[in-house]
Amino acid sequence: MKRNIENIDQKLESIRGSYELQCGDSFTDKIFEKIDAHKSNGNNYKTGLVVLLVLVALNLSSIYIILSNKKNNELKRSNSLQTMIDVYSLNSYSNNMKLQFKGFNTEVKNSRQSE
Amino acid sequence: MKNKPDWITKLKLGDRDTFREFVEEYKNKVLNTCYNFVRNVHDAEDVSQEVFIEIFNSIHKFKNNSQIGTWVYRITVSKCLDFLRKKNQKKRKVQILSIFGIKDFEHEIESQAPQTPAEILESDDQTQIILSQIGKLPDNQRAALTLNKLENLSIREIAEILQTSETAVESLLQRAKANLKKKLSKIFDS
Repeated sequence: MKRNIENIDQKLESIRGSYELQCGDSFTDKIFEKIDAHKSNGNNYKTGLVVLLVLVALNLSSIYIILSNKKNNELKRSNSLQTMIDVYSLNSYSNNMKLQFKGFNTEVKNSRQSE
Repeated sequence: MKNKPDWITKLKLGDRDTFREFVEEYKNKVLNTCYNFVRNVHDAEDVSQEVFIEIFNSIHKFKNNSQIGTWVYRITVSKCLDFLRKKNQKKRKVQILSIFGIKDFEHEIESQAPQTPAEILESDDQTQIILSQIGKLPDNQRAALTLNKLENLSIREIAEILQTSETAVESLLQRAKANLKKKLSKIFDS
């Protein structure tokens, strides 16, 4: 069996050139068909990618609009709350002033009466 | 084969008629090289078509400082090795599936495919064993041995195709032969 191992080179050389495969007639046409199919797949892929990107952009912009609306509403609410607080504190201040003035008037009246 | 200067320019412009001429010129050479790697005519034809599609798509990467033939060989070898890697992965998957009693019908059909004259020639037991053992060598050793012994290319040509030095190719060939002898002695001695 050692002979088999030593004859590897000869064996391989005997395989070489012992056959010559020929491509079929439709070989070249099949290549062009595959190239065109690859191209159209590539174009479909590009179109799909563009559509996907547009959808993502639309989604992102709608999310941005929703968030900014929410922020605006919160801002408006906080502004109106502040106004309410301001009005309330102004009212209470003026009431307080009125009370103080009333008290002052009474004191003046009382002192006049005692005189 | 020498580069035809206007061919390359036209190919780079995507000229279909020139590409058709180019395919006609190289198709049998590429088919036979693929067959020397994959050892199945149908697979060799499929891989050859993939080679030409790759050439059509990446011709702009070709630099005129090398021979177009060498570049074609480089793409062919790389496509063949890719194909064999995928085929081996598929085989492993089938083996795993068979452990669980699941049959892969695609693989069954492939194994029943009719033999071509070239395949019948290989039905000689010894040749079959040698070729099957070459298939088990590491990719670079397998490529070097196939190109040298079956394609009859010189060390310099193989070095250009594999993009390595001539010394590296010589050492690849020596290791490939040593490995092959080891594998064959195990089979023949048992």
